[in-house]
Amino acid sequence: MTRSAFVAVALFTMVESRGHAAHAAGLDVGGTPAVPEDCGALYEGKGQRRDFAKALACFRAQGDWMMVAIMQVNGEGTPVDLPGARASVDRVDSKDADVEAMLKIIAQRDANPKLKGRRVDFCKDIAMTTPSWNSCQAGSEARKTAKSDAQLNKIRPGLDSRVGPAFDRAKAAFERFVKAEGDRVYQEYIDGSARDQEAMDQEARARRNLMTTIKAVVTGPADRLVLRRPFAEADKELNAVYSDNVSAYAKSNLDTNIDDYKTKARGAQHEWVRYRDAMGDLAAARWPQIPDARQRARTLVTEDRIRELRAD
Amino acid sequence: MTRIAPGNGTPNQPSIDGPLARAASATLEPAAAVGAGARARETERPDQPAPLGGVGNARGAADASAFLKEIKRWEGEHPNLYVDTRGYVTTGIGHLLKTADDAAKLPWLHSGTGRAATAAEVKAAFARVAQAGADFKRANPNVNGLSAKAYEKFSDLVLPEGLSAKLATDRLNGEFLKGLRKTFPAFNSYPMPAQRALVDMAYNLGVAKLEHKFPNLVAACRKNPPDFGTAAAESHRSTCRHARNDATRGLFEQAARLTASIQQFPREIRL
Repeated sequence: MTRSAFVAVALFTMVESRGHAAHAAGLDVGGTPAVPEDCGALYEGKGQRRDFAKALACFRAQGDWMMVAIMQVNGEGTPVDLPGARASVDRVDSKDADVEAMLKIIAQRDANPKLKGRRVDFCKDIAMTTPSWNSCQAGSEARKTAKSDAQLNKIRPGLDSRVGPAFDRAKAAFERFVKAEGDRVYQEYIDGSARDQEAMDQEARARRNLMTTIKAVVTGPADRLVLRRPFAEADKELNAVYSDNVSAYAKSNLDTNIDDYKTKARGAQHEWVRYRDAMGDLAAARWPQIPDARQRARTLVTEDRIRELRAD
Repeated sequence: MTRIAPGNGTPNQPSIDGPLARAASATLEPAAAVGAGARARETERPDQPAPLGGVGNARGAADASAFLKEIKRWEGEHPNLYVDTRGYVTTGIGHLLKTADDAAKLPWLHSGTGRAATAAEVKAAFARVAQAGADFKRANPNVNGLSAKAYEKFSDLVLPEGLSAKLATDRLNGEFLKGLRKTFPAFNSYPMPAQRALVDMAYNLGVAKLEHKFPNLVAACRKNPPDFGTAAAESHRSTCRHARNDATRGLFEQAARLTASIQQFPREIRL
């Protein structure tokens, strides 16, 4: 999926519902039609037949000059047109690393006109700036999340009436935790432009841990649910790591951010406690023959949390 | 959509004669009044490396504007309101607007007419853009985020020409350079490429996180003389694209070569 595909989908869905109200309110939407054409759907052939010629005209009309340039380089909807692509890139407002990447590709193709280059893709080849890379990564992470959700959904039907509801509660608790954890890390990096990316990375880390723990807690075999050390010991270590994290933040950041960070950190930790206990309940329901299944699961989740806090 | 200066590629030239634009450009003068070296850098082509630059010294500390080109290169510059991947409204060169009130403090203009926006208009635009981001994420959970440009459809408000750079310059002076000089007491004497690399990393991670997450890099830079070769090897950020990491490493390597040649110079004179 290219950047333009999702841009167009969004514009279609959002402007359609808002366009009339916007004009009624006197909002200048720049003379563009209230319902712009779905350029991305045309380009990707999503929900309709792929039509490069129309997509190119559509991108031009909407001023998405980077996508026009990509199509001109790829020869999509037009014969390959490197001078045209260069002219399109000149019309991109922000002269940044995305533009550099595109100009570099054009120069390479210019130097070897007979060489048939690989199709240029916005996320793979062009997105170099923080906002572009973030938007591509957001999509990539969302697709990974969908994949792991699909794996969890496959597990669910095999669970009996005792385990199933506990599984649902653990999953819901995890979703609340992971959102709060992303917010915590975003705030932790609030002074830097990498805040989105760091938050996404941390969410991905927590999600990978969830999948591993779910395998230990639900799919078995029972010996996967090992007790590597007493829960109290792991809990003590976690408290120390958490305190270090908050005090390190307080020591090195602007005073104005500290209260915000403490609030987010507390919020994430509260949600995590609920998730940990939900995983304990799930383990107890799944392995009634293991007397300390609950503590084992809680210890596993606690160890994950220690790693997560140390890694961000 | 009509922009203030459509496609002219000269972001520091005000193209509207309104009082707000004049005021905004007037406030920019100190930032724009950079030395000849910095002006020369502005004429570089984006696909060419910046000149090596000299070795700084404590008295001639580099101005924030000397670092702006690097920041714009990697952060992009979007004068409209847009929403980041977590739903926070942002503008300019990665300038976060935590609240609608924060947005209303800036002198927004309507792009079509150049008319100054009222506080109520700014707050309404802020809400509309934030809502657009949330709606998009809800409707399309598994696709990439919207591009910054896409949000132009939801608000015609733009910052006056040059204000994005001014906001970034103010943050560089007020937060990043101050923090870097505290973390690296000899920062001003570092070769310019090393300063540029550290500023880029700080703008990306925040000074506190740079110090916390890159202890080996920080220790190498604090050595006397600084070990920029080690800093180059330790500068990899997991959240960056290769191109940015390569550029940062390249800057530290340039600094290492400069430092080595400066150390070599007196020895050669003695010989």
